[in-house]
Amino acid sequence: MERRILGKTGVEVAVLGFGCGAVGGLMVRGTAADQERAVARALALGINYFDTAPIYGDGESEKNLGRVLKTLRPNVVVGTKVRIPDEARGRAAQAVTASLEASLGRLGLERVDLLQLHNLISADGRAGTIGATAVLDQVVPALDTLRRQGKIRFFGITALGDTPALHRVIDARVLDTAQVCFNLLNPSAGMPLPAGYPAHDFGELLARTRAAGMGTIGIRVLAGAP
Amino acid sequence: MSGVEARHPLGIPSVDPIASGPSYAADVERARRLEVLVREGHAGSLVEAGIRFALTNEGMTTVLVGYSTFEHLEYAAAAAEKGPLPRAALDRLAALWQEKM
Repeated sequence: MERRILGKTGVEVAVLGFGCGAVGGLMVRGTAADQERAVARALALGINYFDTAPIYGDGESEKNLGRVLKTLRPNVVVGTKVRIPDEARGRAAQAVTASLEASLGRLGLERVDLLQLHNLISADGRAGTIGATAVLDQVVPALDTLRRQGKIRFFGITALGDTPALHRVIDARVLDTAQVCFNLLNPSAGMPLPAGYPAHDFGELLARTRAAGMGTIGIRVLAGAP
Repeated sequence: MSGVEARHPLGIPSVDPIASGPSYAADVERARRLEVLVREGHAGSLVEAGIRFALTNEGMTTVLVGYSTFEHLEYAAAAAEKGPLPRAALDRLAALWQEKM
C-alpha cells in the first residue's frame, strides 16, 4: 500500500489508517478475537496508523487497542486525543495532562506518537468550543511540555469548528498534524465550493496545513457510510 | 456515502453529520445523486470513490476508515490500493458539485 510522509513529523504512514472509533464499532464493541484478527490483517496489508480517543466507547476503544497492541507488539504509529471539557477552561494544562495519563494507562503504553486536541475550535471560545487564542496560548504549551517529557512525540488538532479560527491555528505553524474532513459531499478543505453549496466551507484548509508542513489525517471520508 | 442508510449492528445506530449536510438521511439522499459515478464506471462503489477521492489531494497524508467487520477492512484496503481517482472522475464530480447536488 502507498505510504506518504506525515508532514514535518517525517513519519511514513500508509494512505489508509485504522479508525478505532464508534462509527465502525469493531474496536469498541467487537469481540477480542475479531479485534485481534482485524488488526493483524491490517498490519499485513501495510496499515500502520491506528487512531483512537478517550471518548470512543468511554475508554473501551483505547483499552481494546492497548490489549491488541500488547499481544501483537507491532511497530505502528498510535494517535489518541484529548477533549478539554468546558468546565476545565483556564486549567487546560492540567486537563490535557490528566487525560493523556489516563489514555496511556488504558493503552498500556509509556508514550503515544500523536496527541490531538478533540475540541471544536472557534474564534470566541463559546460553550462547546475552545477559542483559537486558548489553543495557541494554553493548549499548545501544555502539549509541548508533554512532548519534552517524552510522553508524546507529536501533537495536532481535529480541524473542526469555525473556519477562520481553524485557519488561524493552522497558520501559527506550531502543530504537527490535523484531522481534516474531506469527502465527496464536502470537498471544501481541498477546493473552492460553488456559491451556495450546501455544506460548511473549510476554505481550502488543506493548502494551509500543507504550507505549515503539517501531516493530515482524513476523517469522515465516507461521510459516515454504513 | 454508500447510498444505504442501514448500519451494521456494531456501528453506532445514528451518526451526526460533521460538516456535510443537515442530517445523515440528507447525506444519504445526496450520496444517491453521486451514484452516477459508479454507473458511469468511474469507481466500483461510492465507498471506493470516497476513499480514492480523499487521496486525490496531495496535502492529505492518510485517510481513516472505521471498521465494523473484517470485510470492511478488506474492501477499504482494496479501494486504497487503486490509488487516487483519475482526472475524468474529478471532472465529473466538479460538474455534480456545480449542480449543488
